[in-house]
Amino acid sequence: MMRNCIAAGLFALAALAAPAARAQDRVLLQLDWIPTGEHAAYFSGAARGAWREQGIEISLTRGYGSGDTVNKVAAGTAAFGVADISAVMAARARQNTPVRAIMQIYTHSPHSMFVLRSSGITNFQGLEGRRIGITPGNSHRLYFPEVARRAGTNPDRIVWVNTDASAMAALLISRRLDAAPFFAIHHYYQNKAAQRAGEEIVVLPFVETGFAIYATTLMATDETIQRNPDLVRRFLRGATNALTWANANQEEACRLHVQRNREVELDDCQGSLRATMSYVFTDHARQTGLGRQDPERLRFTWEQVAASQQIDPAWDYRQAVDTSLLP
Amino acid sequence: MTRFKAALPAWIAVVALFVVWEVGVRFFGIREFLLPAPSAIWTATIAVWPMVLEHTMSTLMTVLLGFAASVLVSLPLAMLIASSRAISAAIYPLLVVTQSIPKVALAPILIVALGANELPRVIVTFLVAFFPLVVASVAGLMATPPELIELGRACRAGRIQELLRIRLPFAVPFVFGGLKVAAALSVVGAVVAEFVGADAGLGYLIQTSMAFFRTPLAFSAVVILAIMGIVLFQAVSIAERILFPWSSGAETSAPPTA
Repeated sequence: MMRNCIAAGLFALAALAAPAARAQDRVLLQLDWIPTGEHAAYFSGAARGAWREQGIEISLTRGYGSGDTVNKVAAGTAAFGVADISAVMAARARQNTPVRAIMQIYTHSPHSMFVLRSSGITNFQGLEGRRIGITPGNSHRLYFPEVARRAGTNPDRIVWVNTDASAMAALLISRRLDAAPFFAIHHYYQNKAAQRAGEEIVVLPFVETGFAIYATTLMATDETIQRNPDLVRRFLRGATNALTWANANQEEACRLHVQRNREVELDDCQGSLRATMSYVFTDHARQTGLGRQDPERLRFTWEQVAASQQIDPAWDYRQAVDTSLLP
Repeated sequence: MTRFKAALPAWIAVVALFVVWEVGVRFFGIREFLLPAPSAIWTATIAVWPMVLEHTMSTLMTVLLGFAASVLVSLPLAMLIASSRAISAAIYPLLVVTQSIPKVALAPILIVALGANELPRVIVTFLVAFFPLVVASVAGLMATPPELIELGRACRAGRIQELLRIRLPFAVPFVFGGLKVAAALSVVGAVVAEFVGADAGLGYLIQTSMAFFRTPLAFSAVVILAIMGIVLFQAVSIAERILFPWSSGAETSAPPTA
């Protein structure tokens, strides 16, 4: 309260000092992970003023996984977040965390298994009896039984090897593992590392077995949606503009992205962004409209989330979603 | 010249370490994504040095602020503890509690409470660094020979005078011992904080580099952190030599005269 008062006072002073500037809403968007090429649309949008023209002064900060982003948005640390819909649903179903998905970004999930071409594995059946790396609580492990069922694989014949996330790719490339779960979006630069070691990584996407669940969304708290629908509307207009422009101008988007995030190499960014956009601008999105959801796929998504995380499937999952403020 | 001679073994050891590392990696054909050779680390760092410098400055800022906070809090706290048994009995358990909590678990809570800015990082750095400084300072303040205290009291020295004139000078070597440990721990604390909440800094660089398979760059950050620790440690030693040449902790302290 005190801090808010001080902030308000300072803001008032600043407003008096700078009468020329139009009043802008300051908004923090928390990502789901470190800024990779996956997020080039947001950074290039921010640089181009996609939100400024909506009267929003946006700043972006890194995330530490979807679950953490959901918690921080709920706590008010950030106004909006980039998080997987499964994290939004689970948080709301389990602890009644007052957050909702306000825009669907990925129309299907990038969950995949990475294998080496030299291993001779070409499909999910080939994984039987093999060693697959996994991190504790990883959603790939939770969804795998359903994927295996669809692919006609026996999930009980897999040897799961618990390991650390940062060691996973190194273990795969050095052949200590036969397969490792990754988001297909990161294939480009992991394959680059594999090629330097004389190997090549092949992607087995979960979606190829017909396992199509919604994934990354933009989310906000109930309070923001109810109290300030106009802000949410303008934020989503900016996001739509940012995504559409970055899709049409990928190279330029990445150039702006690496200006802000110099840890990312330009070609890595383009590799990631190209892959990312194949999850955003899909045939499915053309049918539903960008950011909107198909009730059937949303229901299937909830079934998978509930089954994989042992949540009561009867819970009304629709309260975790509100896409009514989309442009 | 004598100073140079004294430092020679240290330099030889460090150079030898890097030579063994380089030769080992090349000889055993260790792959870059497991352990890059020093030459590869050097090349990767030079290629993007402005960025590395920026991250280094960001971490150094956190380290120095956290270290300064630990000094400003620890010394008065140590005097308070040393001044009365009751206070010492009340405060010590709390201090041990702050040390037993894993800082990695505490950092996210601080970030949610204080916002994602420099403050939580400085607090985490301070929490990691201040404990040994308090313990060392209290030990120093308690180490004054009782006969000197008696003498002071016989000369009607008040509590404040006793602290400033008798106890503090005796505590100086202990305090600087604590400062050296705190300086090294500040670097650890800053990186822990950056792993949990930062958009810049060497801890952040380690995480992003590992994610993008730029292992040499991650190791570059590790080496810079090690150097930062050494430099801060030495800076404390030099400060001690200049300010309190008579301190037993200073390497060039005069031999005791009969």
